[in-house]
Amino acid sequence: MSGKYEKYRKNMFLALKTAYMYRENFLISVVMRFIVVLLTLYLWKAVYAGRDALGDYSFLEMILYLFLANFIYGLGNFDGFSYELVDSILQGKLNSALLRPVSYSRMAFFECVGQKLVYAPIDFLAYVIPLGAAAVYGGWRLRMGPAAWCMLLLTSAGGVLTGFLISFLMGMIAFYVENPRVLIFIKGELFALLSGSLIPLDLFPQGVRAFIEMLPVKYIGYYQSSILLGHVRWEECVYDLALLAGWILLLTLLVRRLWRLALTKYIANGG
Amino acid sequence: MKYLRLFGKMAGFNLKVQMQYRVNFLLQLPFHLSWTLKEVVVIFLMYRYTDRILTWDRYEYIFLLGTYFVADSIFSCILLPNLSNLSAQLVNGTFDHILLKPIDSQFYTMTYEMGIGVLFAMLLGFVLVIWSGVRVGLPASAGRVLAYLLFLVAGIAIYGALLFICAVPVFCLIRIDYIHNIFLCIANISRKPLEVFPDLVVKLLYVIPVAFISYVPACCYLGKLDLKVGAVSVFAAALLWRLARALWKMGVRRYVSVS
Repeated sequence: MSGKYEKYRKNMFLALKTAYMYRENFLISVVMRFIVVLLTLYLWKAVYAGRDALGDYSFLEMILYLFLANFIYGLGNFDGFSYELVDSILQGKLNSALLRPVSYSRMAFFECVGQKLVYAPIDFLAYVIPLGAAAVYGGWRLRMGPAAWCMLLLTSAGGVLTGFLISFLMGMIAFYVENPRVLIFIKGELFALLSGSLIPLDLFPQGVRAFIEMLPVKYIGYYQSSILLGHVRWEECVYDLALLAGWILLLTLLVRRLWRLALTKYIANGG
Repeated sequence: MKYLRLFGKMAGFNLKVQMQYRVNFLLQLPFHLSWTLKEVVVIFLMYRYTDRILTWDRYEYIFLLGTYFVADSIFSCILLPNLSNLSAQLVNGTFDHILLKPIDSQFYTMTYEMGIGVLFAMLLGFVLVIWSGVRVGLPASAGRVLAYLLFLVAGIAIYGALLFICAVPVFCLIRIDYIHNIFLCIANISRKPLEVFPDLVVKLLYVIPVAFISYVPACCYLGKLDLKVGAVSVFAAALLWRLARALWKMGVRRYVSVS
């Protein structure tokens, strides 16, 4: 990594170490995450009782879908950062961050990635084990060529970046509003639903689904699972990638512009 | 009686403080509404493809969900914020101030901060309960409603006691961020009909006893469970609070001031 990014890399690993500091906390949290995964499995098993498929999804496909969608959603959900940014702005802690010779947004991104690295391997294991078991015992086979793997990686990286940019924008509302926490919470609930991490978007009514398909939120869970299950039509891939790139560009420009604008009106006492 | 009066005064004080910022206070409604609606939408989407999940139709499921939201409103607006602050109080040494007050430290720790948004959350929960209850079509006799309310109160007490017991290790561990994950886990279980789990897990959920939080009150009302099972929840609540009390006293004895 070039010298320019060395400071960001170091900060990312510092965030990782900090999160591992309280081991009991970490272990209990890991166990709870496993339990939540199991609960999801049991509910869907009950929904499928006496039927082979729900829409285009067999039970096995539904479980695979939900596990991967939740994994990607976990990676692309930066609500915690939004709340941190709000606190920094309202309590004046942003002052010291602004004085540092680094880009605030880049530093924040690498710190968030560092924090994600704590749970990502655990979550990955929680989802990969069922995937492996399903492949061996359930008669399901992973049929993904190199192009599909590339799409999966590209859209996952894009989805994570999109999630971060949206969370950055949400946090910046604190420059203008006294308490934007409610808005961040509502956004979190909306995204959980619209990202398809709770239920596949294919099961939504057609009109609603067509609208959600235009939004960037589908790249934070739904789209990657669809690639895995072979539900994505390859002739639409170029359009999907262009849409994702367009959203990233738009959000990056918005973040940059609004950040500069907000700093011109930002007045901090103390901090 | 003294503590009931104190609780009323603290609730009144919190209400006045939070209503100073009216818009902020009113924003609590969409805050709770978004969470409630998300869950209801997921249930409706699932039931687009099926009439029943095991023995539960959609309105029975929503009745269970509403019951959970009522239980959760009390818990997450009163106990959870205070439990989350406990860790910071021990680190900063402000816990000393609580111990010096001429009231019970456990009571004060549990209730000094109240999110009055509880009123909206509870209201939404009851709206779901009444709406789905009417749709289910069971006659709402006074006995049935009273039994439901009694078991619901017991469920809320059990919920609070369980999380309180999980939080007491704060005196050894200092940080108890895991409490939110435990809360999410219990919330996840309590919003689902227990029939979806294997028998062994269901038995375990009666022992822990997460089953009593919303499943038992809802099932007793819907006629899916005998009232005697509900009556057990009252004893379970009393027992758990005794245990929570004993653990709290042990924890406080262990506490060393750092202020």
